[in-house]
Amino acid sequence: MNARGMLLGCLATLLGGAPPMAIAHEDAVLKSPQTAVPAGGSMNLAGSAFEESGKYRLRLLGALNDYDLREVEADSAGTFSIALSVPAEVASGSYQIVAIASDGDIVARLDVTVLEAVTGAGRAAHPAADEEATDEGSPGARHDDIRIERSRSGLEWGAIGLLVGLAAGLGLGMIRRGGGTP
Amino acid sequence: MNTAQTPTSEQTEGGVEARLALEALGYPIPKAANRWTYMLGGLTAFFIVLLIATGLYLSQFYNPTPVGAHDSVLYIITRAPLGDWIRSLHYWSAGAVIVTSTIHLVYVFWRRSYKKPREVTWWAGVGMVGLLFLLIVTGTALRYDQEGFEALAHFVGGGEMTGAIGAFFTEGFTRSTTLLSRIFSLHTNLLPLTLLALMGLHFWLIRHLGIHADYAETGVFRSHLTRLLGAWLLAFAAVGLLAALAPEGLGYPPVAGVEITKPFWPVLWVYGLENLLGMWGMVIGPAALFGFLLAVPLLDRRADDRPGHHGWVGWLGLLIALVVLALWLYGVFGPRQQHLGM
Repeated sequence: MNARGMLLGCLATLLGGAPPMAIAHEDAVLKSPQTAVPAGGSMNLAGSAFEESGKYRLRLLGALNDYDLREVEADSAGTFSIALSVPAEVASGSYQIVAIASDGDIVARLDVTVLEAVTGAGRAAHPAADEEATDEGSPGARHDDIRIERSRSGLEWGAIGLLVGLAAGLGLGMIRRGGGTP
Repeated sequence: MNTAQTPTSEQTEGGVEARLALEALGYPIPKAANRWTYMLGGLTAFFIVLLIATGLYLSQFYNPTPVGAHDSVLYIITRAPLGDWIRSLHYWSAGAVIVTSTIHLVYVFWRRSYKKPREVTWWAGVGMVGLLFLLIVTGTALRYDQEGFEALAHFVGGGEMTGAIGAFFTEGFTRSTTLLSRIFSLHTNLLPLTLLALMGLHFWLIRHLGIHADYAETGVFRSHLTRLLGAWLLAFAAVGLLAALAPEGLGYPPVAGVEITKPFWPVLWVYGLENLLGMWGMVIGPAALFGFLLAVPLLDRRADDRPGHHGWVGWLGLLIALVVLALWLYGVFGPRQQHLGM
């Protein structure tokens, strides 16, 4: 087979064999006059373009943790308007409020920032913090590292081992091939 | 052409060579270029490329906002595919590039390879080392843990001390975005682009002015490149293994107004100087060191270019190196001190 044939064959495989594109399901809209809410506080949330009388689960998705919020039901016009409470245990950070349909698909998202809880108790504990004493004279400040649960899968170890091993072997070979020093 | 015949390896090789103009790699170079001491610059270039590649990956997951930064780094470590390893590769490569570039600079200084006509080559190299240090400190800030936040606070303090020159590093520079976001932009755009431009200039001048070595015995650049590629692969294997077995950690979310951490090891000499002079040490130290390095081709007026025959410039360079080393040791073993506000 010549080069042109190989190229056409590859293109045909890619186009024909490629998995069907996921049809975008996020047709609905979530809106709020607020872009930030303190943990434990509430925000007004309005939905539109949802399925008439459809039931949806609202969740708060973060980089590290997700939280269940509540269920909502759209009216006959596919809209809803609620006061949404944010759990007090949510750590401050960037999140997305998502509406999930009964089939598990996310149909709408809204970016929101969760601020520290406005209480007299001070800063909420970071999820990774433990109960050990902090540095003297620097309340809450720590100079040591967070204890992180690292769980590398066998596949990841395999990939790393392969890359490192290949690089070492090829490297030695190329140095020998490139000639020695005078 | 008889298409029924299997093409010979010579024909195939000729095809690839011709299409990529690889014959241009066959120019003569001193055989000494294959010594390890002459490959440090090439190794430095490799680590820069590795830092860019791993940095591009990390930037897909990093959130350059104060509310999202720390959590996004934790996400990279715990959830992004191979994120922990790639972030650790980035960390270990950052340390390695400082080692190789420093040894390379010291060796070039000792060989007096900055003499005419290679002054601009030297200045480009010194510029690159300076940029690498800037990349180190901006990268530290992006961690946005206690150490990162203190690095950011040093930027603000330094910016406030240096008036109009340092205005970019103050919170009040613009209200449209945060300082962390601007530092992220610096770290991922302006600094790497400037570094690559200087690297291009550096390699162009090396190619056309030649290296400062004995050309009596010559080899071919192609064989040097093969050997260098081998060194790159070995270097990758080394930092890859380190990244797997000694992954880089992350501190706790920051508390403002205190300074309780020490910086990344390449800048501990500045920390030591700050212990003695306060925040001005952060400005005076690097300015003095890089000012001297840039001035070297102008200070060394000796007519010959024999390695090691610098005269007083060499002694001054040695003195500065010893002072930096002493400050570094003081930074390592000395007490943690508050510099912010000093």
